[in-house]
Amino acid sequence: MRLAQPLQALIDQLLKLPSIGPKSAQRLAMFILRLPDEEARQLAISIIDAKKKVFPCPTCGYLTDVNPCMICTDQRRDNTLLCIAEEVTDVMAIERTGFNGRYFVLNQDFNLLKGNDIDDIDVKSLQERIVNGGIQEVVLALNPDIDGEVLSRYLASIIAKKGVKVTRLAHGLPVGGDIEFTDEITLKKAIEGRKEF
Amino acid sequence: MKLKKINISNFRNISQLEYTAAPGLNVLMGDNAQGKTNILEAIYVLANGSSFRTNNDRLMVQYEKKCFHLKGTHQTENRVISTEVEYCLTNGKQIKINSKKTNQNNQNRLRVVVFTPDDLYLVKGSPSRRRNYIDYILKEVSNEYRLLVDNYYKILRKRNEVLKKNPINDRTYNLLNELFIEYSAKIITARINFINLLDSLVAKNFGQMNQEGAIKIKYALSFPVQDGKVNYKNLSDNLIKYVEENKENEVRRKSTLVGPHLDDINIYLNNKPARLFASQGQQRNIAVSLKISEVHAFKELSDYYPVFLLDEVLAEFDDQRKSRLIEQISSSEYQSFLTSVVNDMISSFGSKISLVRNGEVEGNN
Repeated sequence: MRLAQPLQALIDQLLKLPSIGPKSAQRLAMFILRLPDEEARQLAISIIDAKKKVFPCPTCGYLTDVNPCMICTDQRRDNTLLCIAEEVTDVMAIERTGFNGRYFVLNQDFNLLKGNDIDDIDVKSLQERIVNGGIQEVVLALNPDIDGEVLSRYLASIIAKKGVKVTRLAHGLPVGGDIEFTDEITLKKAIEGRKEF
Repeated sequence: MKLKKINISNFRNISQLEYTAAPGLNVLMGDNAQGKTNILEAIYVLANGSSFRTNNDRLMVQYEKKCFHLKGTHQTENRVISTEVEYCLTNGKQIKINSKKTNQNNQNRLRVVVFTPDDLYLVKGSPSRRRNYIDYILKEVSNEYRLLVDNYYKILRKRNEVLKKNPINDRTYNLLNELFIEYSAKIITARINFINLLDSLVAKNFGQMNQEGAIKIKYALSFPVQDGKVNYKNLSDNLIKYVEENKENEVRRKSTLVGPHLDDINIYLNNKPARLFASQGQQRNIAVSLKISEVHAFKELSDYYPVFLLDEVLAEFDDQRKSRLIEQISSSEYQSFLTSVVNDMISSFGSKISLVRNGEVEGNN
C-alpha cells in the first residue's frame, strides 16, 4: 500500500523513536494529522526549541537552558554536599526526594562489555569541582550493578585522594514495603546496613 | 517434601494423565518409548519451570497441540502447595503457585534432584558437569549463591573484554580484578564448605551400596594455595598473588585463565582418580552415590528432602547392586520416582509400581 509521501515521511521519523514500532508510528502520525493546525505547530516548535536551547550545564552536567543551571544557582542548597549521578534522569529521580546538595552528572556511557575503559571517564572537571567548591562530602549515586560498582570504586579512590569524605547510597528495604515479601538478598543487605534507632 | 499428585496434559507423548504418588518409592515400568521418562520430565518441569532434557520448551508440547499443561500438589512439612505450569507455543510460559502467578525462583516451589543416564559423565566427563552439579544444589538452597554466580559470570565477561584490548588499560583491569577476586573467593569458599559436607555423605553412601572400595572427593582449585588453609582471606590472598604472577600470560591469551569457572572436583576411588582408574560400572556407582548424597545434602542445608527422580538408573547394574540400591531408596525418608524396563524384579520391595504404556499409566491408585 502506498501512502502519501509527507505522511510516509512522518511515520518514518516517528519510527526512529525508542519503543515505537510500525503500528504505533502509524497511530501517532494519524493523531498528529488530526490535530488542529496550531497544536501541530506547537509540537514541531517544541521539538526544535528544546533541541536548540537545552544543553548540559557546564558546571554540573544537568540539562538546562541557562548557564549556570537552576540547581547550580540555587542559593538555598548545601554547598558542602555533592551527589554524583550517571545520568540526567537519575538526577530527576533524586531531585524528587528533596535532596538539598549539589550535583555532578557524569553523562558518559560506561559499559565494560562495549569496550569502555575507566580512562574514558573524564574526571578532570570533577576534580576541579571538588578542589574549588568547598565540598566536604561526596555521595556516590551510581547504579548497583557491576559497571556501577567498578565506577564507584574508581571515583571513590580519586575523591579520597582529595581528602573528602565519600559515601554511597544504602541498599535496603523499599519504604512502604513489607518485610515478609522482601527477597532475602535485599533484606540481608538491609540487616547489614542497619542503623541505630 | 513430597509430591502428592500430578496432572499432565499434551506433554510429549502424554495426552492426559493423572498420577497419584506414593510417599516412598514410585516405580514407572514399561517398554522403551512408552513415556516413562516423560513423566519424570513433567515432574522436573513442574518444579523448575524448564526441562533437564532440552532448552527448547516447544519440544515438550505434544505433536500438533498448542499448549502443555502441568498441575501438581506437593506436601511440605506443614502445608500443601499447588503448582501449575503452562506453556503455549504462542504466548509462552506461565507458572502459578497456589493460584498466584510467579516465576521459577519462587521459594515455595517443589524441589527435585534428578539422576539421568548422562550423569555417568559426572565422573569421566568435563569439569563443567561437576561444577554444574554442585552449583545446582547450592543455587537451590541459597538465592544469595545464585546471585553470586550470576554476577561472577558478568564480571568474567567484562574482564575478558578488558583483556582483549591491546594494550590493556591497567586502571580498568585493576578495579575489575578487585571485584573478580572478591566474587571468586566467596564462591570458592561456599563450594569448598559444601564439598566437605558432600564428601562425608558420599563416603557413607558409597559404602552402603558397595562392600569394597573407599571414595573421596576434593575441590580442585585452578590456582595453588600455600599452607593449605581454605578460608576467604587465604583464598583471596593466594588468588591475588597468582593473578599478579600470571597477568602477562592472561594478556597474551586475552582471556581469564583462573577462577571458579575453571575449578574442578576430583573424585578418588581407593586413592586413585576415578576418572582414569574406575571401571564403567564403578563410575556409574559413584555417579549414583553422588546423586543420592545430593539429596541428603539438600536435607542438611535446607532442612527438608527434595523429591528424587531416577531415570534408567538400574541399567548396567548387577543384580546384587540393583537390589541394594532399590532397598536403600525404598527404605529412605525421601520420595522417589524411578523408571525401569519391565523385568527389573523390583516387586519385592512393597513400593507403588505402575505400568506405563503409550503415554498412559496402568495400575494407578
